[in-house]
Amino acid sequence: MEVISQDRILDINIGPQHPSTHGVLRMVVSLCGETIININPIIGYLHRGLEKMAENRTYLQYLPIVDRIDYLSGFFCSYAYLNGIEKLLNITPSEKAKYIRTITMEMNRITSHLLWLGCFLMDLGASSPFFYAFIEREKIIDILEDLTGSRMMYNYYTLGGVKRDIDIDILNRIKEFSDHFETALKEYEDLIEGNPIFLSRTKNIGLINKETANQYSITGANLRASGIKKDLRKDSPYLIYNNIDFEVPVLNNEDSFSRFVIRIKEMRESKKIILQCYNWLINHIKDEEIKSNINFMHIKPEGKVISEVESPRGLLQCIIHADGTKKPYRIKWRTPSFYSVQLINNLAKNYKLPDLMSIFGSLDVIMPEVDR
Amino acid sequence: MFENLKNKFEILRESEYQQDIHSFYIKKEDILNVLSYLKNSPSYLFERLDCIYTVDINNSFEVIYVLQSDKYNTKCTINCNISYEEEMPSVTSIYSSANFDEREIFDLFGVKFNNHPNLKRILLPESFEGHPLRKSYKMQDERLRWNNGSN
Amino acid sequence: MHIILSTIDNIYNWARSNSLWPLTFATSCCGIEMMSATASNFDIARFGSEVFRASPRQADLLIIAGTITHKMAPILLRLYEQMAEPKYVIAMGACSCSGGMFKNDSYSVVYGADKIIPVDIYLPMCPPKPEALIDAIKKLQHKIKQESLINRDAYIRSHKTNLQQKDDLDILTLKEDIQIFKMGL
Repeated sequence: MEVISQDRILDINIGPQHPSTHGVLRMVVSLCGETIININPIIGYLHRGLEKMAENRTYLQYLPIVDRIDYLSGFFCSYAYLNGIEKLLNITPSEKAKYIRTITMEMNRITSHLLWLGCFLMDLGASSPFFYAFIEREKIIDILEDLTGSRMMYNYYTLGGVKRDIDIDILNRIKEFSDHFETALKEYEDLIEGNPIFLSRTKNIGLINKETANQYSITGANLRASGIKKDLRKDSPYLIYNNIDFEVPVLNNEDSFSRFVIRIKEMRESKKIILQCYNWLINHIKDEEIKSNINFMHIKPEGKVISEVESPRGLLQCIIHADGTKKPYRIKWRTPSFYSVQLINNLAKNYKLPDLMSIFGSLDVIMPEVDR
Repeated sequence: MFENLKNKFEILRESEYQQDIHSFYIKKEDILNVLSYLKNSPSYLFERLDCIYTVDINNSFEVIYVLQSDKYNTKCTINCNISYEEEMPSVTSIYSSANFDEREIFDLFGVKFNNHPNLKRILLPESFEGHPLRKSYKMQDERLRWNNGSN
Repeated sequence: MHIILSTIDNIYNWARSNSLWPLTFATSCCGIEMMSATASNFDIARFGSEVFRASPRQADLLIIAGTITHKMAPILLRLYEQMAEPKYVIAMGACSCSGGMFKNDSYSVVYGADKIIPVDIYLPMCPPKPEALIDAIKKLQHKIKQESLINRDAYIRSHKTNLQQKDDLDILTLKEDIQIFKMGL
């Protein structure tokens, strides 16, 4: 490689207030001409000390905070946290609670992917997909708001199930949505996939090969776009994913474009899962057991547990060390975006500066997850 | 499954997570050897380091490496007990993802990692005082005075 | 011949209150609701605030959408100082109003953005719905319409940051920045 003298290098600062860093990431980028030589990601602008806060609060008091770890997919964080406690206390949620959890989580996955879709295209300079994506996103959010009472911070799961039963009206609206969603997905594909500008900015850019993906502990759609078939829902099924028929999309192209395609396909699979859950729930609408009778205020679990869930961004782990008191001794959140951020230096090196945003956008990083 | 590991290295203690995840306590001098053995040996192939985390327990730190093997679909953890002043060897040469993890532990607990490429605070400002996730931490940073008084 | 009679105040306030250009300053959860407010269903453009600016030099309205941490505080102050007058601030969400659910036991959250910069409109809730943000902008427009060119002193007095604090923040920011660039990349 050509040796670059120090005076030809230009350091520029991007962020923390920058529209395409998806929050508050800061990057110090070294350039030679327009070519990126090095990127130094600086994180921590949203570090709120969530892991320390767990140690000062009881298990119940910590529950609403958990949603804020990943504001685009709050259900997954609540599930990981509660599943850990349930394992420690040997509580098994009822069948209906499991189905309700699955259907809400899959809907949440769609909202998260839709927001990613809009923002990713916005980063590349296309603003209309953003509006298209938000039309569908608002439909799901309206349903979830009527079910849980909140648009984003649901705080809906509780020990051994969910707080409120799902009724026939909401189920019908879910059905209506998922019947219609296929046309919306088709619309996105027609709008985006054939666009020559989009293709030239994403194809063969930002390649993650298998070794790098494993080295950097990349999970989720980013990993599956590199040809490794790894999905927790299939590998060690939790909830009712055993009984559900769905596929895990895998592509071998390793580039930004395949990460886009994988996420569109995942939304389609989520829709399939939602319909299957709907079919089960509509036949069991009379079941009443949706949560456990144990008083959440006075639980005193003991032991240690690693609770995992396949979140929209990858493997989310909640590790709980409980010492038999009312408060957790230590809670560690293993969040997928934290590891994707590290990769950015590897990926964008030797590309031009405008490619940085397309590569970074395709990784689906959100900052509260990175900083916690 | 872990017979080979037990024969090859000295295991101080064993414990278990719920859902059958084994954890092995080893000496901190062995950590690099154990991890590279687990990563490369065909009977384990723990190719991914899910995360590293630390617990402040019994006036010492417990540094815990969570490993994942895709081939055998298993998980295990390797634990090291160190005192407050001791330093750990960095495992970035084996798993690149350990880079940010170790910086985070250095930031929040104050554990130093030898041979780390870029060991400095990651989440908190560079001039922050104290390591907040230690059990003995008291809020003492000079920035906290912004929270007093009103405008 | 058509004649319109009005005061300069009225025309001036009418014009600038109906074209508030916000800065894209989304730190966390509320930023997503801010995006929803600009998107199809809520369409903030109906109230003249759809032109989100990425540069503080071109913005009149700073919507603090999300938690402000100690690391972020100097940047918030710098952005506010870089904005051209007249400038207004909406503290969106419980975190930027008072610290919200992180108050009292978080070691890295500033308990309210008003500890750093003056705030015109407080919008609590966690997170506020897009309708609430639109309501806050309407309230701000109402507030701007009450202002008068003669009373400019009052505006300047109420929109000044605490000077002594600013010195502290500047020192801290500069120190951190120099370190980040020196550290070798």
